[in-house]
Amino acid sequence: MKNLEISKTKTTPEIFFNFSTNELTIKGESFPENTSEFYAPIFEWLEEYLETISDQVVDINIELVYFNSSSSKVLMDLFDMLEEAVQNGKDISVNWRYDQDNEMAAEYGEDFMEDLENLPFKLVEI
Amino acid sequence: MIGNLFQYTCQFAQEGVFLCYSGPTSHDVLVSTGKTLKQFLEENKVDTKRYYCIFSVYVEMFENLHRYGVDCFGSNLCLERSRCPYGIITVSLNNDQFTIKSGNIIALEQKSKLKKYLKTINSMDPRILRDYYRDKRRQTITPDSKGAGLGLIEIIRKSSQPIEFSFDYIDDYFLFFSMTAVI
Repeated sequence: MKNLEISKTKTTPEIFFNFSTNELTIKGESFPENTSEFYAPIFEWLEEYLETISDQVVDINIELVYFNSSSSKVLMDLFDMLEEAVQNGKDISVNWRYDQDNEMAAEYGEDFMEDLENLPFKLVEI
Repeated sequence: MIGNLFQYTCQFAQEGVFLCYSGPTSHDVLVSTGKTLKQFLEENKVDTKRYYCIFSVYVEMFENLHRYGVDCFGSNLCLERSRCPYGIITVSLNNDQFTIKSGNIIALEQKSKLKKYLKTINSMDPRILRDYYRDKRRQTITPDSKGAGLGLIEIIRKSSQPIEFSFDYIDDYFLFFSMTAVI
């Protein structure tokens, strides 16, 4: 399977999903013109990826300094998808990376964490 | 007209308005004015938490103008197929308080639902509002909705006091809806 690489723009984050190292990174700001359109290829890639992997350790690193409310909705959908994969035996964990000055990013990480039951979700101060 | 512009400028200056956009809304305008706003906040050394609260309210308000506003005055100016709803948004700084105001034209029938919803979320305690936000984020988006329906909640969560809103009469079909958030 090919890696998924999308360069960051003024309103969309950098995406780097590395198939060989099982490290998936989302980094930057997210307030796309059309949120579902931007995230559609990411969901497609993940769907295929989750079918391909077996017991590999998967690290999802999310470092979003800012995201708007529609991106927040999409992130929840993404975590729900990962949570389902964990229930099906996959070894996935999320590292929610935030800058110590950015309290908002930390609070939003906590909000997600509380909404997830099975997906390991770590808040990582950088 | 020149006289009017001078009056507007004086009024803005008195109110501490440092950014104002009025006209057809688009994502491009949001990106460029948002960048200008960020530069202003950086130059004024606004702390990170507040910086993102202000930026976030600005983005959500602007997106609401674009999503829910009806077309510009004199709709013959707009191309038939393109949607360019009119909106006005200002950001001001007074006594270390940032105020963001937005205004757009809505259809008369939108008022009652919007007013009821704003009253409800505006009176919620921050903890309850946070839970409400999380519940709503989990809900499936209905096909006819234009966004995740979280924008107004986000604006209230980021504001340091309840938001103010008003509906001004335009004619028998349209109203001018405005909203003020303080951070």
